[in-house]
Amino acid sequence: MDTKLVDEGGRLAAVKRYEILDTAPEAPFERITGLVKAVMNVPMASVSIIDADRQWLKSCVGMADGDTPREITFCTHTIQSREPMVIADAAADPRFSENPLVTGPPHIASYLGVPLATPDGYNLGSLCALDTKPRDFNPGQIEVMKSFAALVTDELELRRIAQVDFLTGAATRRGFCLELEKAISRLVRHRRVSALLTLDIDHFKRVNDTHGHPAGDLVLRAIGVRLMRIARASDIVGRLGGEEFGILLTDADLAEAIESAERFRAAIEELVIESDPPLRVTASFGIAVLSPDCNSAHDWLATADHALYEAKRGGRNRCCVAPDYRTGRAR
Amino acid sequence: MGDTYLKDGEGLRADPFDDLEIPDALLGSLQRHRVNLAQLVRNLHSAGVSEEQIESSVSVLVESYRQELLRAIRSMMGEG
Repeated sequence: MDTKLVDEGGRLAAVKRYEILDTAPEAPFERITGLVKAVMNVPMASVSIIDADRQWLKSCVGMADGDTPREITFCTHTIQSREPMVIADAAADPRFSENPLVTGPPHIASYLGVPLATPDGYNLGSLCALDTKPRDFNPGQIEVMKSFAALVTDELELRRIAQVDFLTGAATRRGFCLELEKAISRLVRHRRVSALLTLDIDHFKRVNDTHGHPAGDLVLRAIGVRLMRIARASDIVGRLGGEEFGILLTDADLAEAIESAERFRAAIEELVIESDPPLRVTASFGIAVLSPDCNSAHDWLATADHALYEAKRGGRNRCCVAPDYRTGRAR
Repeated sequence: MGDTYLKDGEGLRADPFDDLEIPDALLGSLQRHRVNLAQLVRNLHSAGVSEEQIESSVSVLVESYRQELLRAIRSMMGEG
């Protein structure tokens, strides 16, 4: 018995780990679906990810994107197996003959889906070739699709690994920005507020110049570890580049964000970094609660960075709140 | 060009990733990709896909993965 195939909790945890749901379209996946369409000679192709109750498309050609209720999707069947699923004539298959995706748009008549399996054996979704006419897929074509599916998994795996900063163990800027985009989406969909802290180590250049870059790396690593140890399980710590970090506080209002920022600031101030000689540093913090006016990770970071700049200008080792966009007043 | 990237039916001959300094954390991923790419070439051949289409497909995929790999390396090194 292949336990991973029936471990839905583990599978959903894997989907979450890959941080792919609700991300923007990306060229590598578009290229693969484009090649599937051309090589398999089908009008539609997609990379689908199966969430708890929906199918979400990372890439699709020849069909509309957007969520589909999981229970009516072909791919929810595909991920129950290690082998590709072939439906030569959906209208003649009792599982799908009344399916709204068969009887209505996009009028799926035939389907070839290959599970997208992670290296540890969880099926995240599937790579699909779809036609509006009944057709069979020969063994050679199925093997080609299996190869394309493996390449999709390669791309997903590359992104997963690249979301962790090599030095500090925090999320990379890219991984962190994905989390910010999700928080923006949560505000729009569910009215759930989040706050962003950005912090910059004070006089970090002086550490590097005085004690050398290996000591600077020790400082960055120690701060990354400290921040992640203090953060709540739902918070995300990221290294934004150089000596700047970000902390996403999910479901946090302004009062909670100020309290958290002060806690992080004090923890860094108290930290003694093992080195020869031992080192101590401080950090300046910018605080920006997510505003409905903000519609991109870039804008949100810029707002927090503005407050961070104020903290630097005000003497460092302090926390400042971002001014309101519209009024210019402090929140 | 089907065999251009193949070496003994397993690895890649003209390795498009040879000039990159790959972090250890990405080596396993890259090795899997090499194997998967070589397998794709073999499967496209077996399925009767034209040389021209194989060449253009693999070129697109190699370049796409290479760009992503570079981005991943920079990201992991805290360079944005």
